[in-house]
Amino acid sequence: MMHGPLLLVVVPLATAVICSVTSMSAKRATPVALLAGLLTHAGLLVAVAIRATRAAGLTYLVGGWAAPVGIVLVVDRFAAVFLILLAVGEVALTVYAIGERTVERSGFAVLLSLLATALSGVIVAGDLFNLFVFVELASVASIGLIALKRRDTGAASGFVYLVYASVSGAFFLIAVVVLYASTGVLTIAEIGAAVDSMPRATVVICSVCFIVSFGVKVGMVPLHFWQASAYDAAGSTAAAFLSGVAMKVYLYAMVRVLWSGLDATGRVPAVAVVLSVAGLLNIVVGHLLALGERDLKRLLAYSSVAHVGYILLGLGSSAGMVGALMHIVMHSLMKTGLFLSCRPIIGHAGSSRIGRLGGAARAQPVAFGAFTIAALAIVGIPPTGGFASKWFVSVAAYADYGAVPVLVVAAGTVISLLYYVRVSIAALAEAVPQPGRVSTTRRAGATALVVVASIAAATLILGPVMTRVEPTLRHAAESVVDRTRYIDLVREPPR
Amino acid sequence: MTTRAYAVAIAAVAAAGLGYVLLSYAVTDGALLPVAARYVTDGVRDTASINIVSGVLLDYRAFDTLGEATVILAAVAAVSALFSGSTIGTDSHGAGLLVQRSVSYLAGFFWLFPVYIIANGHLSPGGGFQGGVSLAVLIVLLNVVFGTRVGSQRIGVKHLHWAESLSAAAFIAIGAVGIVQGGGFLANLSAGFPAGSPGSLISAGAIPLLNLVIGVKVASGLASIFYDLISGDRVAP
Amino acid sequence: MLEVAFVLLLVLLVVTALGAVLIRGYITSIIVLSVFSVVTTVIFAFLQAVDVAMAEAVIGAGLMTAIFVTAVSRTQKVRRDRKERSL
Repeated sequence: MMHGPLLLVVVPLATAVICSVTSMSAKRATPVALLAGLLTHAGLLVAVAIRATRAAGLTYLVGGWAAPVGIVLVVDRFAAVFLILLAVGEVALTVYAIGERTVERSGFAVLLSLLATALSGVIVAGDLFNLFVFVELASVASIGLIALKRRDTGAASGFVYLVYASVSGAFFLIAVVVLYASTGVLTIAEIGAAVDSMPRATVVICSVCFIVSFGVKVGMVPLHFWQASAYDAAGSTAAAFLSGVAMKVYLYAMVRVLWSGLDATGRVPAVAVVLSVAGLLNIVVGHLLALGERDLKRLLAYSSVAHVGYILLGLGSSAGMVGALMHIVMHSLMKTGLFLSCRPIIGHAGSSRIGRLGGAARAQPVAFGAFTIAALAIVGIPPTGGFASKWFVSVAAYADYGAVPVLVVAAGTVISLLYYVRVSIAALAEAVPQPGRVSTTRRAGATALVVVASIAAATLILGPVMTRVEPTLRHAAESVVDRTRYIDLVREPPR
Repeated sequence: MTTRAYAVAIAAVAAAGLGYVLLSYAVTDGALLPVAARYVTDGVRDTASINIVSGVLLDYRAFDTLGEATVILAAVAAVSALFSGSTIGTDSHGAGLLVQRSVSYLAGFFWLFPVYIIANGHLSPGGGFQGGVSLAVLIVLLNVVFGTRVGSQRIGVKHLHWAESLSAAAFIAIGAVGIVQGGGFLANLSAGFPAGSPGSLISAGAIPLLNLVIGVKVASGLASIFYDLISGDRVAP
Repeated sequence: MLEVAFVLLLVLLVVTALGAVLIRGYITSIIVLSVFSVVTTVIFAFLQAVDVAMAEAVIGAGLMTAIFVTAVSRTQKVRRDRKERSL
């Protein structure tokens, strides 16, 4: 267990290598290898997360070189939350993809395990350039997953994302150059220790660069244009992982560099305001775009844009880290549930146009039921966990910015209720016989339905249980808001 | 002026501005920053590699290099997924007789260059990455000169995929030696790799091994991307 | 003297960069881009970053040119085929 943080990166990487060998020599073994590798990885993720939460943090020196000279891997309580998210998303997706035979698409197993490698790497990275490497790896693997379906639109959407990701990478690199030039170190904690003596202008430039860079990745509003077409092209399985897990990990990385590294909100209060305003903009624009959308998968993508808004609003409020973290957890579950449950529905209808979903509810009752539960949760109907997280974010935002953000959140809730009800009505309607319709040969397997149903159950249960989970999340939030803890963890590792 | 020219002009001005800002931060008075100074003073002692760049890339920060090599693995997987099921066109005949003849006489010398760069990565500038790319360029050259049929028969896509997977596995295995021997993943001298006498060909512990592995990996990865590009149901160039 | 050469190289860098974007015709543009890489290589060598210079030379001037030319020739073939079919 001493090597825990490292194994989180190496195990899925080895899985990727094994999958690429089996896909050449023994195609049948690929799903087995993928399942075995990623289940082991998920087990490790949970084990490391639990240990890090108990011990208030773990560190690992790669190659035995101490922090500023070599690369350090860090798992604190804040990172542990994301390790759990990754584990849940990974297991759900792997089982689902094997049940639905998505895994047999050429390259899927390799790219999925590489994406798991990259996301674990981003979470455990304690070094700015190491973080950059893993973010780039995540981009390349995501592009592959988006383009995998081999339709012309898939390749084109993958290319659009590639362009956006390059811009994002360039901004990240600029910030790294500036920080390295002004501090001479790349370890995030060492930068955090040196930031107090840094000119304010440097902090501003780097904060802006990081916000733009990760803003592209999470779909902050003027930079969100790639998202709908990418998720549409990606196929529901990959989209579930990209929106449900990968996006959350990018948010984690943004918080890590802005809070632990730069002390951005402390040195430059305007950063908090910028994040909040961007959040409100995301809520408004995302919900309105979703309301006007006629395609189910694009609608879900725009809903993701809106929900990043809630998280950013939480991050921008001085007491909002807990709410943001809660919404990250809830949205990860809900969005994974929505994307995975919409696949059988779309499969039945033969089209993702909302107008053509008629009859799907009757033909796929389990998937539709799960979709409805996840939709109710994401709208924020009280007993579900979605309500609790929105409530925490709203309370924190009210304390800082008054009634306006709360009104925006409320309006967003109403709009999202409207469009999810529209989808449900369309799916509940009688099937309209259409001449040119693709026959519904593709039926959802039992495995997939079990996955979808258990995610829906989890969203339901997390609502009442949220009061029990909240202290853990509060500790996690404290460990990133109080930056000295992270810096001390890296400088004086508990032994 | 066209809109494109305007766009370029705006982009150029923006880039110049950005460059100026960056330079004003990045330019130091010539004194080395603390970590860099440590690399320069203790690098040879810590890594036994007299090429400090290799020492940093393959010892102090070898984990980054593993990540970068994995990016290539991901790119190859993505590209080959896009082109899966298509085969290499075989109607390209390559260059004229004169070029083919002279290249076939020179080919032996061409191979020497990347081999030298990889083998001496810990002694002189270069290393697995640069050597691997020049190997890939050589494979491209063979395909251009002798035609894709001859080229892809000599060095097939299958071979490249195998070479890439195995070298990725070897990279992880070399790293794992550090776990077994103590010193941590990707540790070099502290994991018991022999330091040798710095400056000689057999020295610097695991660094020459890593150079070799990276060279094979980069070469096979990039060459297989090229093969994917020229494959497809349509004829090759 | 060396400083003058360095400034000239920098100017050449900007010129080739602009050229690669502004020139019509993909192949010409790609060739100019490879010249850009060569200039970058020399600049890196000037700055005593020989390792980076070597990487830039083999990637920028070597491999990238080959991959770009292949991609362009393939897409142009597709375009020509489509045109013939539509006629």
